[in-house]
Amino acid sequence: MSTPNQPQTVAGLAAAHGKPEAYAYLDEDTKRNVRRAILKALAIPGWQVPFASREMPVARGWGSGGLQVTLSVVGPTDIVKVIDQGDDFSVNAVGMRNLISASAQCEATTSTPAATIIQSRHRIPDTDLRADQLLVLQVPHPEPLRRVVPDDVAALACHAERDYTPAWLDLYDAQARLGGPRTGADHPVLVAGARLMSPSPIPRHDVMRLNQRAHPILLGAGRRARLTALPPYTSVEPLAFDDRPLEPERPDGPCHRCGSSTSYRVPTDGAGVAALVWCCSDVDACGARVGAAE
Amino acid sequence: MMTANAFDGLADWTDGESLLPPPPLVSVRGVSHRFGPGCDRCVELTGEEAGTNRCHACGSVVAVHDASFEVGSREVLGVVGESGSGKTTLLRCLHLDLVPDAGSMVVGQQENMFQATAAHRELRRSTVVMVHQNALAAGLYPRLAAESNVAERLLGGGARAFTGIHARATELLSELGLQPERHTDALMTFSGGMQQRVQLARALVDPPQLLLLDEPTTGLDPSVQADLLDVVQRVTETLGSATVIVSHDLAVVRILASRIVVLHHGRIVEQGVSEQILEDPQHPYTQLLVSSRLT
Amino acid sequence: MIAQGAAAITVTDLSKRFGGAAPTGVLDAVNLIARGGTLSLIVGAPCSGKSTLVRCLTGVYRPDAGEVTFRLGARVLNLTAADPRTVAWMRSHRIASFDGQLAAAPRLPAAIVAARVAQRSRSAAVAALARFQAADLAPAPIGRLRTADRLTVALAAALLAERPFVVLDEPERSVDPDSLASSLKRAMDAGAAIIATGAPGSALESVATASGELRKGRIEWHKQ
Repeated sequence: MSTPNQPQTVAGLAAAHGKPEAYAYLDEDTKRNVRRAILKALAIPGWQVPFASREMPVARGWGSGGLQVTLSVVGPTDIVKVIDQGDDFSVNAVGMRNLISASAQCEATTSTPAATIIQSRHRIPDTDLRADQLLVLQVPHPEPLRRVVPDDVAALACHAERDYTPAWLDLYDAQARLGGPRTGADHPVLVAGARLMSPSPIPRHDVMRLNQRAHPILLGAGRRARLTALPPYTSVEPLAFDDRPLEPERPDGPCHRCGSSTSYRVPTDGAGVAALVWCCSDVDACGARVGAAE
Repeated sequence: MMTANAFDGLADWTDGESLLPPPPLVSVRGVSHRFGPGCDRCVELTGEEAGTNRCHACGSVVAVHDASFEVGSREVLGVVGESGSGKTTLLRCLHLDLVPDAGSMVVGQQENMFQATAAHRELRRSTVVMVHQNALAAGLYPRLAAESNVAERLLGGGARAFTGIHARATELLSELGLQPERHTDALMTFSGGMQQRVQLARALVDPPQLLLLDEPTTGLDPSVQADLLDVVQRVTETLGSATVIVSHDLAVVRILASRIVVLHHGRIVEQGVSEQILEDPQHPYTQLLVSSRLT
Repeated sequence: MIAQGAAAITVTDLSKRFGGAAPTGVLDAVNLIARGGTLSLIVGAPCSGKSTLVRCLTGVYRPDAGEVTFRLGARVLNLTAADPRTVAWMRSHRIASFDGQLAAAPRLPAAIVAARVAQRSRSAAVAALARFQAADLAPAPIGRLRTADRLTVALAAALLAERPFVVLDEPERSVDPDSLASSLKRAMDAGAAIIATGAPGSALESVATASGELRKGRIEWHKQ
């Protein structure tokens, strides 16, 4: 037993170690820090709020931020879905889903309508989410100005003054030389008409679906220790000239599995045919369509 | 098709015509700036009599002291001085890169530009434009297209329609002699003279109230320089801007500027009409400068 | 048309000397009044100070003593005491001067140079050059012209400018006397106050309202 003025001994710490783990993996102090950052981020949509990012059992840059967000808000009655570019069964998606459901003692699912929290890397589910669902996105590079501004200090000055000329300049240059923006994924967006934000490397097809959603979206960047958030019914517009709106990707054909021509499709192999075919990236939604057709 | 009499238009001026110029567009008063800790003897120990701009009591450099001048719309003021004269510091103050220790600058309706801290970036972009000796030092983007560098000022001003911006930028570049097929080439692929033209197009695209030219023709080949002088003169005349040109080349300053200010050890030692400075210099340092020209 | 006499150039006790022992270029308390609608001709031997006088009148030289005053209607300006910006403005808006110099970007065609100096149109400049039988100079880049032709362009520009005050240094050396005389007459008719210098025996004597000789730093008037 240590009195307030006596420091703890190693032996004392080791003896205390055998205690049960914190709920949902993270200790309460960390979760409080993350939650406070989330609240602040929701109050300032699109603003990057720093938080105390911890070491996680997933590599930095591979979802540690999104994972910390999920673990900070998950409860025992939640049903968690984790996808990686639309697929529930990538190695990291499986690992993170198991970690969350085991440490929070909650259910896991692959069905989008059934989930209460959906954590995703590089995609938004094709199925529109309801107001009672939460979307958590994994963000590798939260700073939308990183390619056009020399350092963080300059970027912060741009955000503070709401002066995004470097981003507009980059867009102009790409339009003049290439006929369109260079960004395949992670096209910057203007939140509430004022703040520039990186929406994470989701395809343009998804960037154009962020506007006025009924549910909140939280974006966690663990490596860079920043959180951004979009409360429900927030205006989110891709950065574009008035007369050059952003164009979504155009796949060459309908989905090989379900036949949809409106979903986001990617060239896939292993579909039982020799060449690459276009298949829905959102496996769950695709499967639901196939199931409904049968 | 010509008017028969050159003097027909004399009827235009009447008894009411003024003999004084209109109020200046740019008014600079008492600009002083020092690098270093400073002491109460700095001013006394530097300047003409002291023969230095460095205070030996505290080691500070009094880069500029009590510089004042006015420039009207469509007027060009030349600032002449050798290295260490303070002209670079003065230019940086005019370009709002540096807030001087003392002094004020009034441009048009903007009272004391040096105090407008919050909207500095905004002010600078719209009010003051600098054309540097070296386009890259001017803050242009070497890897972006020439037309993008020109468009930057329009984008900074809030223009959001690509077609209009593109048309204006390419129109200006063509007017200044850049071939259309090169408009999308990266700035760093252009020669020095061409980069200067891109800088001038940037100034033209959204005429500023104050145009600063920092050694715009220095380092260019003579024939390129001659070409550029024509363009620069045209620019200074068509924009309604007040222009300040800094150059050590008196011949260039004489052609472009109607008045010259001579800087030495951070002080303005003489100010006058260009022809007077060059033909009848009053101050010993001016006389030295003028007589040092190669003829 | 302005009222005759509304413009005037008044020179009072003007003195100028240059450093050094040589007595050339010295003006010693020169006095002169040139009214609107008149031509004051001042002749003198070479090195008598004619160019110096012209340059003192147009703000290029700073006199050592004395005043040069311009009057237009009710407005009066003491050029010698004026700040440089005012002097520069007067030189580009009110005073048409020719003193053997023309600094211009070498690639510019002569007509454009003249048009800019005079603040008139290019076609007016071409017409002005034609009046002095120099129309062929109009398209040539000014840097390529020989000195004499550059001076012709400079003089044509000064006369093209239509300003109330005209000060010319030895204009007869750069254009033929007849076209010069008719240009000056037209300027006088329009009310300009004109001062011109020349060599003794100048052809402008016949059109001059007043004439005198500059000797030993002072003007001796023959006709006033």
